[in-house]
Amino acid sequence: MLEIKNLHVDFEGMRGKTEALKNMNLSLNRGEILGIVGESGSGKSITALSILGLLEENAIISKGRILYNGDNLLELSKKNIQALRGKEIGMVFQEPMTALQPTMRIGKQLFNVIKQHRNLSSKETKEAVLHALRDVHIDNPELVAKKYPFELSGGMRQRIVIALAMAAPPNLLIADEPTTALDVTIQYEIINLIKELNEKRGTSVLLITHDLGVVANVCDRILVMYAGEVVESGNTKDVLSHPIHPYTKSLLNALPDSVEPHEPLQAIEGEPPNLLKRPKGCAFSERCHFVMDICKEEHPELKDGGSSHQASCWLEKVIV
Amino acid sequence: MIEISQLEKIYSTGKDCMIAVKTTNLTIIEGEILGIVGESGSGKSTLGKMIIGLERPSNGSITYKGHPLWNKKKYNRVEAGEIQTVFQDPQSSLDPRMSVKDIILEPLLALSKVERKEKGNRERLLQLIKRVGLKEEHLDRYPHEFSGGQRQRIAIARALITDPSFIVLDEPTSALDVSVQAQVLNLLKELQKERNLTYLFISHNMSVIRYMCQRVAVMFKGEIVEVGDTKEIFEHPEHPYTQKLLSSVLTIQNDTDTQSIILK
Repeated sequence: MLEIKNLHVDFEGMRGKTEALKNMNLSLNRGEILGIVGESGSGKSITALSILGLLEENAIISKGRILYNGDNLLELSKKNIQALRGKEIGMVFQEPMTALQPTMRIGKQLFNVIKQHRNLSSKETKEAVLHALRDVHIDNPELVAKKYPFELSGGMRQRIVIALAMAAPPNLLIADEPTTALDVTIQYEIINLIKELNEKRGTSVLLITHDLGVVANVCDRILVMYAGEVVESGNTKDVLSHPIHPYTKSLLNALPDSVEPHEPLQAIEGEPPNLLKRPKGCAFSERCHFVMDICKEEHPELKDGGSSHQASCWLEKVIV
Repeated sequence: MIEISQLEKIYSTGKDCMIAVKTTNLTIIEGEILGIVGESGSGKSTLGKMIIGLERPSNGSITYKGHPLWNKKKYNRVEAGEIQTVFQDPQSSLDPRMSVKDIILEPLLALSKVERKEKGNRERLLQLIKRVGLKEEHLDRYPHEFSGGQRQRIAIARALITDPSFIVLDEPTSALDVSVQAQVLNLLKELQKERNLTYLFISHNMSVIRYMCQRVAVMFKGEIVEVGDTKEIFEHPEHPYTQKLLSSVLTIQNDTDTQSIILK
């Protein structure tokens, strides 16, 4: 239902062109939860913003297509994109406080959204508001509907944001770090909630996170991103238990859980490359333990959009 | 080394009051890494701040090697530079208009002239920045030129310049990416061993706590609900809150064949 093909996003700045996203390919099937994992600057949020048409002014989409049910979103007018946002595609961002209108009661905010997208009478809409709150497991919807965002905890706020995002109801939910600002116990509940909404309503979910634990527990498939590129993709289980790309392996090994307390952690030395001057070959080559001559010279490509488990690494290509 | 007894922190405005830390007793043993874990608002940072003198306790006492740290309203520094701290966000904890060199040397201003000269000499400074993984040419640069991980290295160097015995680390890696977090945790652990430091390690991240700390105190709503050996607490949590906390952690079970991914 959602397909991204050869998407390139650059930022024009004073010091030159930053290639924030390079040859991004993605396909999300109906009813699926697809995860995008990566560290800061890997291009995962840029991907989400491109889909939603919310990139900053100085971003240039130099190549590629974003197909939503066959339509290229990049060719839609601003108005049409706006119509799609909210109704077809719901969004949940990291910080629930900034996503809510601070001076409007929760009930009113939901009321407006539901009224906008659904053909209901005012009375029916009021019912729908309470229903939407119950769906995100708010036990006393009448009471919460009367509150302002600042009167609620972070976890409650994020539930409201999800209720708003799901109100239309959309066919696709894009969640960018939905639990990063939340406590562990709340994170657990929110992740379960997203999973439940996906199962109950068949909403497809694109989940963007830096947290491998979150991905492991909710996503059907994942894409691992590094320096603006997808370096590995496949079923969650395959990627996490049998990673191919040295970056994915290193990332998993760098988790504090991966060693006993008396052993040193296996850190990835160095830092991601400066995207102003991307290395000629593989972007990870400078930090890779298995680096070969070809890695520095030629850029390894991922096979086009296939759903099988694959990585963009010369090592794999040499072995296979 | 540190003895906290009947410590309380109450914030009040007019008639309203909020108990941030409820009557707390805690001992920090010399040479250990003691973890404090809890969610936002549980009082873990407030506790740390009362030890370093940034928040005044409402009741109770903290003693450092037998010396009381608080005398009524006044914070009694045991010895300048003996207790140091590293904060979570190196973006906001480093002065953007100071060079790295000035930032690292700043804590020495609290020391006596003789000591300042002794600890602030160039050779020692170079040794220190090398040890935390920075280079000599970094000294004249400014914080914005560095990545998050490097900034945290600068903050660590600043804490170490006075040769402290005790360091409060408040979420030192929470703003960092996993791969960089691993570098910083390794560094902190090595430094602790080399210099026989004592850490109070505040974090909300259970895996980080498990990896770093010998003992851990679990805080919930301003109270320490459980304290003890980290391994023991992770394996047999007694308090219902600790149990909930541990069961909420979403982890990757690497050998998915035997242990399937757990949800619910």
